[in-house]
Amino acid sequence: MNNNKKKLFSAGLYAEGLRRLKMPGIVSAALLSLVAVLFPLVSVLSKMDQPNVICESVYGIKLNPVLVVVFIIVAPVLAWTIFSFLNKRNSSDFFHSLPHTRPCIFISSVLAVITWLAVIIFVSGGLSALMALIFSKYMVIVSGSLIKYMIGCLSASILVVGAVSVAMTITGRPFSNLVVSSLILFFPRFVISMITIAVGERLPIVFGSLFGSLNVESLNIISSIVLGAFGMGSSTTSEVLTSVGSQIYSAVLGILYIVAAIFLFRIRKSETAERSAPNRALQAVYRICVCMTVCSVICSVVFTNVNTVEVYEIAIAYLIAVIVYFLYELITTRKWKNLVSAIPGLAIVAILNGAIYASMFGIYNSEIKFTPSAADIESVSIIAPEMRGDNIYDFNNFAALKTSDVKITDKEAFNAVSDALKDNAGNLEGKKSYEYWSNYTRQGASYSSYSFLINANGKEKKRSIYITPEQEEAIIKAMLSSSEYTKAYTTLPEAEANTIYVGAPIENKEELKNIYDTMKKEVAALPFETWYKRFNDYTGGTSKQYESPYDYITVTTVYNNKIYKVMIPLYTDIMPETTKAYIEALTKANFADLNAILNASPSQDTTTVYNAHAFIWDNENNNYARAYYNGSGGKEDLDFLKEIKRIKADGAPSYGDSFAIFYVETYTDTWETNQYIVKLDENARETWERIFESAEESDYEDMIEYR
Amino acid sequence: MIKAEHLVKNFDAFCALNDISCTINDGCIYGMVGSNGAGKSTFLRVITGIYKADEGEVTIDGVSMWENPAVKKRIGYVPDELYFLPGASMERMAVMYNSIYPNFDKSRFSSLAKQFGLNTKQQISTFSKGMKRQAATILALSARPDYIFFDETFDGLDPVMRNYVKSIICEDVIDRGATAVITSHSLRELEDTCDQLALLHKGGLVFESDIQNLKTAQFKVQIALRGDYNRDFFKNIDILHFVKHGSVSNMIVRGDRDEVYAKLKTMDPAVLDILPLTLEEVFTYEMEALGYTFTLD
Repeated sequence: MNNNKKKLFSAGLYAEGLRRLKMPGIVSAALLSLVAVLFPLVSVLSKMDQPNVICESVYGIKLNPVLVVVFIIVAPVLAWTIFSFLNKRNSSDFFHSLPHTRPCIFISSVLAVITWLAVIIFVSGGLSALMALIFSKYMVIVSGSLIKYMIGCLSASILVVGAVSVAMTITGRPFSNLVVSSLILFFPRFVISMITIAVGERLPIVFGSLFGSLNVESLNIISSIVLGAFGMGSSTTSEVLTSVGSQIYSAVLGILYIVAAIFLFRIRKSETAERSAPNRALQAVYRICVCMTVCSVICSVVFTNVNTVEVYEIAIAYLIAVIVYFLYELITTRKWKNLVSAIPGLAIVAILNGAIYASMFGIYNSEIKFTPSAADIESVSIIAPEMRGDNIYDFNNFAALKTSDVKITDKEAFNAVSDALKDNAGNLEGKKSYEYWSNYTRQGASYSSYSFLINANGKEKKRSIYITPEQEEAIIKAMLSSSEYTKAYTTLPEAEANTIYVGAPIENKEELKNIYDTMKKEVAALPFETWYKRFNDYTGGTSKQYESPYDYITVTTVYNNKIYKVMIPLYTDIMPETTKAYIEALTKANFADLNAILNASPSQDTTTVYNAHAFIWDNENNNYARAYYNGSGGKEDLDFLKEIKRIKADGAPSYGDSFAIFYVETYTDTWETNQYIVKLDENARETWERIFESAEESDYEDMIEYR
Repeated sequence: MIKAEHLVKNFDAFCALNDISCTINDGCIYGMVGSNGAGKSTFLRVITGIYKADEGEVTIDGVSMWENPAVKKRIGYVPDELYFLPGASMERMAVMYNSIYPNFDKSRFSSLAKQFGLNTKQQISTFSKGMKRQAATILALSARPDYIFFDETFDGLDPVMRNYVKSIICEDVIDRGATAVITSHSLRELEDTCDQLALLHKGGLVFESDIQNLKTAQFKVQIALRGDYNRDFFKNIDILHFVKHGSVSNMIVRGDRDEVYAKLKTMDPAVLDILPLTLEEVFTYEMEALGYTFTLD
């Protein structure tokens, strides 16, 4: 008998829970499985029309973006369905009469919900993986990203189930279920966000989280994603879902909610069903929290616009908050007389408003007073501009991101940062934000904006400040002298398997890997100055990196748990080995096809057009002369083919060889373009002159001059 | 044996049960009557472990009822407001009962459903009120409980079905030694079924007795004496109620019928007639004697 009292799980109840959720569970699993199949299928179908198939590296959320529906819709629906018996007297009585302890009823039910959610997630995610495997020619999953995504969805689902189950044990009506679930999930983070936003508006030098590098706001997956959708977050859905920290935090918080719900369910009275709250005290708590969501917005707006907001505007705003306060009471209890007994609760609302204003002023004062002297600074890092995982980035941006982790410990740099921070804080204190901005961005001012992570007096703060050219020079000098910094710059990112591609139609994975491995070795061996200047030498107004790279190698890499696509320029002058590997691979890729075209019997095929670019590479300056042949089909193109065939040398062009890139545009239903690389023989000059008669003057001259 | 001791249950300011104590012996059918709001349903919810009493305790065979699955397994409960899973058929409910109640008897379920003429594959939500009550009764009885509680069970049943349900309950009590507790606001529903009756009024248990005893211990006397007389004239008789019209008096008397008859006969009455009381009359007069003004529906 005692064992029964201690029993926390019943297989029968669990099975019954699974059966009760069968309908929504199967419908959700079917819909999400369908989406898991359709998404990659549509993506592949759209690529099938393209002449050059690029195998795209995809990560979990891109492969199955709708899986987030599991924790946004399915988890609350399933949790609500299994515990909806708590909202009706007869059903509540029925379940409370069952021969099981309340914890046993609760745990068996909640496990049934989590089981269904796990099944839905892993069936849908598994199908996505299967589709990626089937269409591996078109897409490759970034390693671990799908499983991380699925685990993220499951963690978020557990959090939602926990919050909803707590809400349902302390309420007894659907409307109250919804409101209290939302309060549990979002209220704390919402109030913190309002405080953060208000302080941030008044203090533009404060950058990122007020909680330092911990970025605790992103730990709660649900609030981070949902509030992030309204601009109250700094991390993307993908980042939050695949972050191990967020997954652990959300799952643990969800489990804690479930444990709390077990306790609350144990002491819950069956008669709470059909009542908005078990007692007046809890009803007051819900009412006050609902009102405080409105009040926290008011506090934020008032604090931000303290110099401009009118008293009557504040009064109207608070009147709305009071209406919300009483409206909640009226809707949930449906008794006018309860409005009178709710009046004293307004005093608590007033006190809480005072507390929010006090915390805003407190944080404001604490943050603006963070102006450490150079002696107090322990390290400084330069924070790279925000990079979103979905986009493709230049290597320079990625290198800047990597160097964010490099800690500068140079005294001159500390002086520069300390002086700049004091200057910025001084210009901000007691002034309006626009006065601060105009001081640094006015006509003739030559300040640069930098974001720093400053470690001083045991505190770590992010600051976005304006610095003078002299200060900037001191900081950059310190930066460049750091071996960590140079290493970060000359170490190319590790590519995820099968995610390397180039602009040319080289599809062989081994060849692509070989090209990239060669490039990594060459870059690592380059003098830092050479490599760095290629991106940061702005002589003439443009960075060198935009000057004539032969091609870009794009790789997908995972850095700090985030996925980035990085484009690395292929410079022939400083990467001869990479260029060689690249050209060889390209030639190998299309040599047979090229010969087939050149050996084909010429015919008056008007649907085939031949175009060509001819290049002579200037090894020393990574420059080239080029000329074009723009065909129009017909006899002239056939003559052009004959000439190409005549001057074509056998084998692949090596580094420094002359070659032509030869385009064949064919029309069947649509235009299709293939490109081939043709090594030209040593005696081709006269032929070139004849062939490329439509070449642009300057390029043509360059070409001749170089030869 | 079910023992309730000093049960108190309040809903905010409303006192639903006020210090109720009673003992329900095994193998009996215990009826509980009371007007609407008397506390019958609350009492059942407390003794079935759905509600926790604010004060007092319910024990079954000396073991506390509250949060005790071992005891709850021996209980079947058919509430006033029935609950079935949304969209469920009787078969679906039977699956649920089978996974929860270890003694659930599928063959009995099928047999009872057949006897009641209910389609077990049909959605219960499409059943009439009476059919739903039959379905709940079948499910509860199929779990083979030692203690079975019916709250206003005969509501919505036609007379034939009502008698049928009563006979099945009696069968369980006789054959298996089960104990049944039945509440009703209608005394007439219970008088031919129950062994014991209790009366609840405004949350209090005002009266509890064996039915046979109740029926025989009280009777109506019509008497006419020669000459003037009043109630005081019958001092040696326990009169619960006395009304005199002219020379004829109607009395409700408690005591041994033969003894009372002998005493009255010595008064040389012009008319003397002793009549049995209905259970409802017994209750009404007992209540009057206790100072309650009580009317049953």
